[in-house]
Amino acid sequence: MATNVTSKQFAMLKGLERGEIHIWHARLEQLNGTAQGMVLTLSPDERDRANSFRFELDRDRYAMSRGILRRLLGKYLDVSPGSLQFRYGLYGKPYVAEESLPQPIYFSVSHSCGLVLFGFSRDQEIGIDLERIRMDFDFENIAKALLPPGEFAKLFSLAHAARFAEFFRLWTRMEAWAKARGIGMSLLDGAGTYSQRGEDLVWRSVCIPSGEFSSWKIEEFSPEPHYVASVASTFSASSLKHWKYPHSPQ
Amino acid sequence: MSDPGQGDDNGILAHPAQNLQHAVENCAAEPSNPFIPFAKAEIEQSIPERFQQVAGKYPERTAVRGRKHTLTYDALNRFANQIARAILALRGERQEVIGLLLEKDAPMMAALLGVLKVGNIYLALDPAQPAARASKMLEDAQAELLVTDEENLSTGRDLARGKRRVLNLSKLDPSLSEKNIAISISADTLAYIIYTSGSTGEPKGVVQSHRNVLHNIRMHTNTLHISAEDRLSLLASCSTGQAVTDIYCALLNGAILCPFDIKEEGLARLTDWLREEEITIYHSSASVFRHFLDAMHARGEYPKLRVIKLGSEQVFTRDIELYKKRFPDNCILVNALSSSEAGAFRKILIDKRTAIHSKVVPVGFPVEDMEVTLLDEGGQPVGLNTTGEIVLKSRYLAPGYWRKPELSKVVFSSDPMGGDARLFRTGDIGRMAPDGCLEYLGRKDDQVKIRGFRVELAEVEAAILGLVGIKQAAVVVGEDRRGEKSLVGYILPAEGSRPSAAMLRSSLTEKLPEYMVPSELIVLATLPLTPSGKLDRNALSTLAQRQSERAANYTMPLSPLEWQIVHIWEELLGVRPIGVHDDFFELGGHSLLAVRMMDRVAESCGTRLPLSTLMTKATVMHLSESVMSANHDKFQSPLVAVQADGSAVPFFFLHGDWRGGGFYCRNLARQLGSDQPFYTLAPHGLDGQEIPRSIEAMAAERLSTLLTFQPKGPYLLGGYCNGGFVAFEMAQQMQARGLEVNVVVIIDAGARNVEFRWLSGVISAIGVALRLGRDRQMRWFKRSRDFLINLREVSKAGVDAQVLYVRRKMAKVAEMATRPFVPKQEVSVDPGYNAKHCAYHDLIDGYVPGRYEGRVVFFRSEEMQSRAPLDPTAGWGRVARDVEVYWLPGGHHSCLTEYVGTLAEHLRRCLRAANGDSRAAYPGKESANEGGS
Repeated sequence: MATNVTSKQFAMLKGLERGEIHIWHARLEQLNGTAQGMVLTLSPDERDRANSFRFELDRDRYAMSRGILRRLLGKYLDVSPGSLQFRYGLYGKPYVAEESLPQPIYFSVSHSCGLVLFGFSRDQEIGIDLERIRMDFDFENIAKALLPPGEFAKLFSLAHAARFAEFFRLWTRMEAWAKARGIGMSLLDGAGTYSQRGEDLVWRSVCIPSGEFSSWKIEEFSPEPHYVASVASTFSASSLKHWKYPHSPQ
Repeated sequence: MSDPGQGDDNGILAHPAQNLQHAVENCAAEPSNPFIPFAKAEIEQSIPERFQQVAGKYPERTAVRGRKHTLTYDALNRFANQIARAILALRGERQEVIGLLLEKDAPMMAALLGVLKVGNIYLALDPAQPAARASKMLEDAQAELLVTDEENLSTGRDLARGKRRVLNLSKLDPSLSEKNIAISISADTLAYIIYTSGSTGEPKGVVQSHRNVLHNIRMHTNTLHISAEDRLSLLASCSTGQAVTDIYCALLNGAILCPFDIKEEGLARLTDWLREEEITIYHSSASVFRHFLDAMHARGEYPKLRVIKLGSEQVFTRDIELYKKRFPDNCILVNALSSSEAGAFRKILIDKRTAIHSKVVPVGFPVEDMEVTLLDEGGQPVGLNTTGEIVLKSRYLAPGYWRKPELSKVVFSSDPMGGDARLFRTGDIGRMAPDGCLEYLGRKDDQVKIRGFRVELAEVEAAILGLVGIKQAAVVVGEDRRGEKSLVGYILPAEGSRPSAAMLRSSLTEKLPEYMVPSELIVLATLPLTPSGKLDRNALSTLAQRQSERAANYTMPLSPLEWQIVHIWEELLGVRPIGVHDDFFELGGHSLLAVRMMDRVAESCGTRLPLSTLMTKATVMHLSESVMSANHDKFQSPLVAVQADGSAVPFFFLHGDWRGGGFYCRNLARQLGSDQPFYTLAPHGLDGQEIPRSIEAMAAERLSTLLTFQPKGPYLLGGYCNGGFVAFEMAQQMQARGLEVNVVVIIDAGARNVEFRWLSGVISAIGVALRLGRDRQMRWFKRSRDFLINLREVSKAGVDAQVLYVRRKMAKVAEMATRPFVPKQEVSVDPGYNAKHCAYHDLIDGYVPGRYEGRVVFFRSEEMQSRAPLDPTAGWGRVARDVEVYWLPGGHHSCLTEYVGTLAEHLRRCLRAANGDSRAAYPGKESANEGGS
């Protein structure tokens, strides 16, 4: 479980060591008071992006999670949050531009229903994914595409609630892995019904630590009740630290 | 119509509304009605003087029936006297403004009378309004005393902030005398301040004198024959001018004032309340009245109601129609134009017999001593039927704005012709009909120019209200980031209706010029109202600002394919409207939903796109283009088997979707059942090739494809939109060759030119003789046809006009027939789209269907506009032997996407019937080889 961090502790936070994975999570509605300050650290293109959301909720969520990301990165890199510049990979994964980077840092962000999760590492790319276990989500077709037939049958033999929890668990494992590789959703293009090869690829990457995938470590955890999350990395982290972002950091 | 000088051409009304006065008199002249005319001399006194006379006459009658308090005239007067004395005790005799912070109930009425009795000016504050606004008003009015009661004491103290004294009516000294006070107050004395929010949003205080109030109440009393038998509703907040009229119309006539708090008790209760309270005179804004109409159950619930009074907001013809349907015959409707600065200055009485020829109900005819002139921007009077600012000339205008001499000077001025009347620029825009009936067209500030065109917002609102399933509509102006002005329409759907913005927009396009169609239509659950119950346009404008910034991006889906995708998104995201440039993730989509969305797209288009398609651009247009390009090869073949299996006679369908590839047919074919083979014939141009020059040529080409594929009949043919015409023409060509066609299904395409077949015959005969090409003949046909149509319109006008018209036109036609044809340009982002759109439009417009001795099944969408509005077969009945008509829910596109189920259900039955006709005769499908020619 996550450790709560007070504002004071946050201010004194020590850096990120090699071999560590730091995970932070924040609940957006608890941070409303700080939204203004967050927005100030955003770059013009991030502000544009925020404004392009149809709903205020999505806009605030984006602005807040970008703002917190900048703060945390600023902390780890010891630079001012507003000075960071992001670049984007082929499939849209953001990374810190070299000119604003004293030492390399890798991160991944995920959000679901008001909760945002951030993961950081000094060693290699990581991927993090978070989902709220939504009991009204119709995932049958997705599961069919994602899982080999035997596994699909196994999933649907589970009791109702367990089936949902299991599906979202598998989904976050898969997406965390895809994000670590920087390929995002295009991973699924090779999956299940689309091609036999893809089926193997996805399934093995997510569930069977062997062959090409033996180097991948995927850890699961539940940051809050009804949520499931996974973090994927190619190295064995000596420690995985998990904090709750303070309501009003200094 | 019978009235000379008030014929059809120059009047808005068919029924001389002025004469209606006798209707009021008749209905008020029942023996029990003790109406006493309000003599003009009686306005030369103070409000309390008149009130005290009434109270002396009807001491035991109820004056106010509020939610918590009911007081008789005597009790109300005694309470008011005590309050007056308490004020004197606190402040002495001096003229000043006194704030009143009380509920809309009897104590409020007592307090305002109390203030008037000592010659002071009251400022009524609504406890429900934001404290910041109340405080601003108190500050501006320089009120030193605030009258309140126990219930509002804490708010009162906050507002007083130690700077003002507070008088708590709940703790009034009971020993204070209840006798009338002997202070003489002249008619010139100021009575109250009412703050109205100007266009700038900065409230300004209008002050009114006792005389002006009495003048206004006299007009209402004598027009409506208000008497002690009446019960008047008080729906508006006491801080508004509307309330002033209701309060004094009741209290200065011995009638019962019945306050009702809509915010507190809800609109739903209003209908019951009006019946229980036996209200005889109802007064509200048009917005509130529409809610009331909506909540009414049945006709005949309000036997006592004799007057419905509306004002200050445009009333639409539709409101009048509903009034006629739902209220008793003796109930009249009064529409008035009034302002806080002048009271009511224009009125019209409407009853069941009044026919109104304009969409916006006029505000009618003059009120005594209130003269209206319409001025242009240069201050010059405008003529009849011309819009101008309404300027009022009267002796009974507000003395000015409280502590705003500059503004007062701009708005009020002395009469340049001399005399003691003054002029008041109302800021309202109007237009005078030749019969002297004034139309109110909205506030001057609301006048907008969209891309250089002047737009009357009311006209757009009236057009929206004319659509099916709309309860209320408001159109405001928004400005996008580039400062470009655009219209934003807000819509309150009727109970049980679920209009989509895109559908509404496409039907509006049929009714309004393009620049008048709001660029964004937003469906809301409620519309914001001001304290007086008027639509809160300022609040909507703020909203519109944000919408417009986005609206710059809105583009309506244009092909069935785009509609299909939009529909899938709407379902998954729960968002409406969605334009083709909207981004899936910016609408709240996330990765899991994206996977499901792509699944649904695959299901309905038969094309599975990689998820990485969304990485480049997650818009409807990008998806639709990706689907199209993934199917590029398939479009090279004009005939495609959507469903090759099944034992029934195959159905050949011209899908008509030259832009979106006809993917909707997959769903349609599936819903028709696995026994029904379904083949599509593509529209020309989908394969990138040239489009033939006529529907006949298109039909001939597709027919040869069909015959290669299946040389023997019987055939089942069908087509959508342009495909409908091609299918019909194919059927004719097949009939000419002796081929058996069991049925032609036509979806949402109305036959054109059917009454001009003779003309087409004549022209082609001459054309052959002169060796004119097909194009020239078609052009010639269209021009002559349009000329004849116009002539028919003109023939309704006078003979002179006809002669003039014919002369002018003859010259033009002669000139035009020799000129090359230039298609009209339409606004779109995609030039390829425009070219094809024009080409198709042009071909369809020139197509003259011939006689067909067979069966047509015609499906029309609910929103289809036909050139023959009264003919359910939209013209097909005039050319086909027998036509069966089905109505489909939705519009031109949504009848194929959102409502495809209904279409499929009827179509299945039709095809089954046609199959049954021929099953025995059908030779089998030996020639059907999948894939086509």
